[in-house]
Amino acid sequence: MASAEIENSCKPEFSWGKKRGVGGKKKEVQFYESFTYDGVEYVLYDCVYMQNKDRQAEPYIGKLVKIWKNSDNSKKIKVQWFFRPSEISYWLEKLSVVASENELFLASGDGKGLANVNPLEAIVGKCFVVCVSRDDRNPEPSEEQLRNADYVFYRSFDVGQCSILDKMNDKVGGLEVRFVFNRQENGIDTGPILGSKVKEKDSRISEAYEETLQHLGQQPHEVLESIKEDGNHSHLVAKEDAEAGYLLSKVETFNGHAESFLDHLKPRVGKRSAPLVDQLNGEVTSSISQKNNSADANAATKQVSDSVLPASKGVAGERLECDPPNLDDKSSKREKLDDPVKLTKSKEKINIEQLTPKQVDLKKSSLVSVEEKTKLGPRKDTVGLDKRGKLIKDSNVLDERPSKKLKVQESVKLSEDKDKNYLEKDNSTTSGSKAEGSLAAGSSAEGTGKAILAQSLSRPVKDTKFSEDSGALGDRPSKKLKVQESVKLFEDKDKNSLDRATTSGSNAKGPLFAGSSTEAIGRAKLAQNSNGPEKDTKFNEEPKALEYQPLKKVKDKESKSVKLSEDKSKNNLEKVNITTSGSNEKGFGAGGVIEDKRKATVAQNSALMDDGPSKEKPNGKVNELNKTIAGPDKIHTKEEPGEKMEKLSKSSSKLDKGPPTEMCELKLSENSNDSVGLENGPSMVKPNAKTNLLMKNRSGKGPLEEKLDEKIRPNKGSTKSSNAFVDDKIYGKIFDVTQRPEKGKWFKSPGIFLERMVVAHDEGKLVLLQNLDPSFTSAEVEDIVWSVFKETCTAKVVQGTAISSPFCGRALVIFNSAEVAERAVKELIDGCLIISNQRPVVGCIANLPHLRGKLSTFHGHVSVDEVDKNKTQTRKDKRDAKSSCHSSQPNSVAYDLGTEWCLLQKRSNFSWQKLHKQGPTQEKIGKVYRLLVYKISDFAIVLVIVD
Amino acid sequence: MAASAEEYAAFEERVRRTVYMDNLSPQVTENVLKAALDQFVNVVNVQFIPNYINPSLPRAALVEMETPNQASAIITEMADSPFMVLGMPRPVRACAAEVEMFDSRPKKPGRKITYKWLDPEDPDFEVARKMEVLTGKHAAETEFLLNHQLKEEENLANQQLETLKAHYKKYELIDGVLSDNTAKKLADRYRTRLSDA
Repeated sequence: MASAEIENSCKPEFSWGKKRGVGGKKKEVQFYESFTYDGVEYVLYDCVYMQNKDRQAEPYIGKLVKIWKNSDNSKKIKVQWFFRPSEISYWLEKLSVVASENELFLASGDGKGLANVNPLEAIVGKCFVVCVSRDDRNPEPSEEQLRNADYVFYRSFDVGQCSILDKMNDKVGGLEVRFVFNRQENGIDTGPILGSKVKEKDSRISEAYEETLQHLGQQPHEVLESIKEDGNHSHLVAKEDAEAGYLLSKVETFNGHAESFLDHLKPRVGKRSAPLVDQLNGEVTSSISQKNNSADANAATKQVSDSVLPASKGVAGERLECDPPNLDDKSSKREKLDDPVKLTKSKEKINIEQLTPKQVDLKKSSLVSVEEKTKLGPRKDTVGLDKRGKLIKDSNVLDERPSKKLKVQESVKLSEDKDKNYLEKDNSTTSGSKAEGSLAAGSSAEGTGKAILAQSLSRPVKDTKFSEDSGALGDRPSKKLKVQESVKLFEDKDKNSLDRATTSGSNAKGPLFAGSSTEAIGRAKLAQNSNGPEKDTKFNEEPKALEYQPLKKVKDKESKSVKLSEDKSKNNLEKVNITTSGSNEKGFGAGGVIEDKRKATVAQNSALMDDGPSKEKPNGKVNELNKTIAGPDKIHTKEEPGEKMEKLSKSSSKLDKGPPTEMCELKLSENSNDSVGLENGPSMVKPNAKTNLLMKNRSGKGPLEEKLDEKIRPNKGSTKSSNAFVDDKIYGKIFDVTQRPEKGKWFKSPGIFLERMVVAHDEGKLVLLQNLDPSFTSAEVEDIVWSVFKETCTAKVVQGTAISSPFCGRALVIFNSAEVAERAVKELIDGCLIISNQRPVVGCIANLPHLRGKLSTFHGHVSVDEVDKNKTQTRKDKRDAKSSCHSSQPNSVAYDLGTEWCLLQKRSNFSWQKLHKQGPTQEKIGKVYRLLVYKISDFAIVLVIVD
Repeated sequence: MAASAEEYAAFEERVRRTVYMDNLSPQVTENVLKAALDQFVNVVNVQFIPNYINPSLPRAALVEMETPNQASAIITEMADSPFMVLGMPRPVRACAAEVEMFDSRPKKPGRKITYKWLDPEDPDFEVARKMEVLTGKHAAETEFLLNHQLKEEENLANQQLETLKAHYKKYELIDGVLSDNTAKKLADRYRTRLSDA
C-alpha cells in the first residue's frame, strides 16, 4: 500500500472507472472497463500511444484489450499492437504492399508481437485510430472522425505468418472483431447500408471491369474504348491488368447523385483507361455526354468540381480518381471522406467533363470528374467519367489557363470556377451549353480560357500535332500560369478527355486520340493529352513532346529554364493534370483507406494519388516561397521526371504495370518552374523528388496541412517532407519559435539519452549545435529545431561546467534520420540562422571520437599502494568513502601534494578566465558592421595560457 | 505564466544551494560524495554532469545542499584546505553552481525566442558569418586549452608519483636496514647502541 501511495503521489492523477469482474486464483485480480489517467479517460478497446523506450519520437500504438489491477495494486494493461508501416516495412516490401503514411496494421494471428502486458503507466496518451475497413460489420466512420483520426487501419498483420491480411475474421488475434471496428455510435449506422449498396455496385462494376479488362487485354495500349453503362450508370473501364480489378471495384456507378457521393470515394479508386483521352467510343461518348449532362445539373447546384483520377496501369486501363475540385479545403475534406457534397460535385464535374469533351479547350482547369462508369478509350483519357468521379481535371485545365495569372492554389474555388470556365468555354467554343451552371463562376478565367482555347483550338486544329497544341497551351500557361497545387490534375485522362472532347466535340475524347483532334479544346491539357496521344501508346514520349513545346515557347516565360517555360505552359497543363490526378489520388487515398476492401492495388493507387497531391502542394509552396528546390532541377532535365517518376512510384509502376503512361514532371517555380509529372497513359503522376518525400505523406491531409501551415504545423506526414524544410526559408523575416506539439507528457525518459546518442552518433544523425544562448533549455532547443526545420528531434543541451564558455551554449540534437540531419546542417552552413536576433547558430554533424572510448585515466590520485605491488592495497578502503575523504592536514605529505594541485587548478582557472574573457572585439565588430552585437568574445587574441 | 515564474524562482533557489564540484575521480559515486560531505552538511541530492563531448574529463557533479548557507560554507571550506575524495592528493574543487549547469531546468519565464534566416544580401550576413567562424575558432581554442590542461595534470601527477616513489624507496630502505639486522651489525661495528642512534 505504501508503495501505491507513493506512486500516486508522484504520478499523474489516476482513478479507476467501471469494474468488470475479478479473476485469478484467489480473486485477487480486479478487471476494469475504464480508468482515468492524467485527466484522460481510457476505456477498454481504446487505442493508446505506448511509451517506446527505443525511440522517443515514435511511440507504439496499441489497443487496450484488458485492464486490471493485481493484488499488489500494480496496474496493468494488455495491449494489442498496431504496427506502423515502418515497423513492418520489410514484410510490406516483400509482399509488395503499399501502405499510406497514416495507416496502421493491427496485429493478428498468434505469436510474438501480437500483444503485451504493460504497466498502465506506460501509456503516453490517447490515439485516435479509425477503422476504415469496408467490412459491413464496421460502422463507417464519419467524416469528422476521419479528420480527427491520427491513424487509420483496415488491414492486419499476422505476426505468426508475417503476412498482411485484408480481411478481418471473426477474431483478430483473439480479439473479437467487433472491438476491432469502430464503435457503434447510435445503434444503427447508415454506414453499413451504404457499404452494402456499394458492394452491390462494386460487384456489378467488377463484372464490367472484367469484361473491359478482357477487352483491354486484347487491345492493351490503345483504348479501352468500350464504355459500359450499367443501369443508369456508365462505368469507365480502365484497363488495369491485375489492378484493373481493383479499380473496377472502386469504380462504382453513380446511381442517384447522392449515391454518387458515396460512390465517389470508390470511383476515385476507379480506374481510367490508361491511354487517357484517346479514343472514346461513340457509345461511350454518348454515355458520357449523358452523364455529363446530369453532372452539369449537379454541378450547377454544387459547382464543386470533383476530381476523378483514372489511374490506369495497363495500356488502356487507367484509374480514375476523383479529385476534389477544390484543391485546398475541399480537397482535403474530400480526401478524408467523401462527402455527399463532393458527390454532387463529382456529378457536376462529370458534367463539366462532358462539356469539356465538347470543348475541352475551354478550361484547362476544368474539372475532370470522371465517374467510374464511363469507360474511356484507353488512350484517350479513359477519362471516362465515372459517374462518381467528377472531373477535376477539367477544372485543372481551366486553372491552367486562368493561371496565366491566376494562382490556382490560392483559390480552391478556382477549380470550381474553372469548371465553370470550362463550361463557359465549352459553351463559347461549341456546345458549351451543358457547362452552363459553372460558367457563371469563372467568367474571368473564361476569358483567358477562351483565348487559350482559341489558341489551343487553332493548334489543335493542326490536329494530330499535339506538340503544337501543347505548345500553345504551354505558352498560355507559361505566360503567368502558376499551376501550383491548386491545379490538381485529376488525371491526365481528364485532360485527355477534355482534349478528346474538344476534338470530337462532345464526345471528343475518342477522336482526339485518333488524332482527329479536330478542335484544340484540349489546350494545355489537350496538348498534353495530345502529346500523349501523338506519342500514342508511347507515353514516355509525351514528356519529350512537352519538352519540345516548352522549347518553342520558352521565350514566353522567364522561366529559368527555357524549356521550363514552355514546359511550364505545358507543364501547367500537365500540372493541372497532375494536380488533378493528385487530388484524385488524394481522394483515393482517403477513399482508398476508407474502402479498405480494396486491396493492395487500391492502396497503391491511393499512395500514388497521394503522391500526386503532395507534389502539388509542394509546388505550390515552392511557388509561393519562390524557393524551388527540386523544381529547378526537374526543370533542367526533362529526363528527371522520368527518373523521378520511377523513383516515386514503385507503387505506381506496379499499378501501371502495363505501359506507364507518360510522366512529365513540371516544376512550377513561382513564375517559372514547376515540375509536373505527367503520366499520360495511366495518368500516374508521380511526385517529383520532393514528391517522393512527400509520398511518405500519403494522407491527403498532409499536403493540405502543409499549405495551411506555413509556419509550423505538426503534420505527421508533412514533417517528413523535406519540402517544408526548404521551402520555408524566408530571408530576413523573423519568426517566433513556437512550441513543438507533443503527443504525450511522458515521452521523455531521461536516462536513455546517452544510449540513443551513441546510436545516433554512429548513424550520423547526431548534430552538434553551437553558439546557442547558454540559457536555452533542451526543450527550447527542440522547439527551435522544430520551428526552423519542421523536424522533430531530441535535443540535449550540453551542461555547463566550470570550464565551459559562458557565452556559447552547445546542444546535441538527435534527428530522426541521417538524411534530415545532413540537410539541417547544410541549411545552417549555407544559410545563416539567427536566433533571437543575437547570434548565428552553427551546426555540424557531431563527431565524438571519445564517445565510446574508455574513461581515460584520472590523473592525480597516486598512492603508495600503487607503488608497492606486494602490499595488496585494501580496495575496501576505496569503497569506504570516509576513510579516504578528508581535508588533509598541513602536516602530511598529501597536503603538500594537494597544494600543488590547488596551484595547478588556480592556474588553469586563470587560463580559462582569460580565454573566456569578453574582449572588446565584439563591440568593434558591432561598430564596424552595424547593429549586430554578439556576446561572443573574440578569443583569438586572448588565448593566454598561463605558464 | 505565473506558475512557470514560480517554478523558475524555485529553481533559482535550488541553484543557490547547490555546489558545483569537479576534479572528481570517475570512481566517485553519489554515495561516496554524500558520505564525504555529510561530515559537514546534509546532502539533498547529487547529480553528475555527463560530459558527452569529452567523457575523458574528470567528472563533475552538482551537489544540492539543504540551504544556501551550507553551500557557501562548503565552498569556503574546500577552498581553505584541499579536500580529497577517494584518493589523494588531487583535491576536489568546489564552486557555486550556475543555472547553465543544470540539465533539467525550467524555461526562463517570459522569454520569447525568435529566429530568422539572414538574407545573404544583408550586410549582417557577413558579420554573422564571421561569428560563425569565430565560434568554430573558440571551440578549437577551448579544446586546445583543455588538452593543455589535461597534459599539465598528467605531468603533475607523474611528477608526484615519482616523488612519492622516491619517498617510498627511502623509507623502504630505512625500514629494511632495521629489519634485516644491518643496523644492528653496523651498531656493533661502530660500537654504538641502536637505541642511542
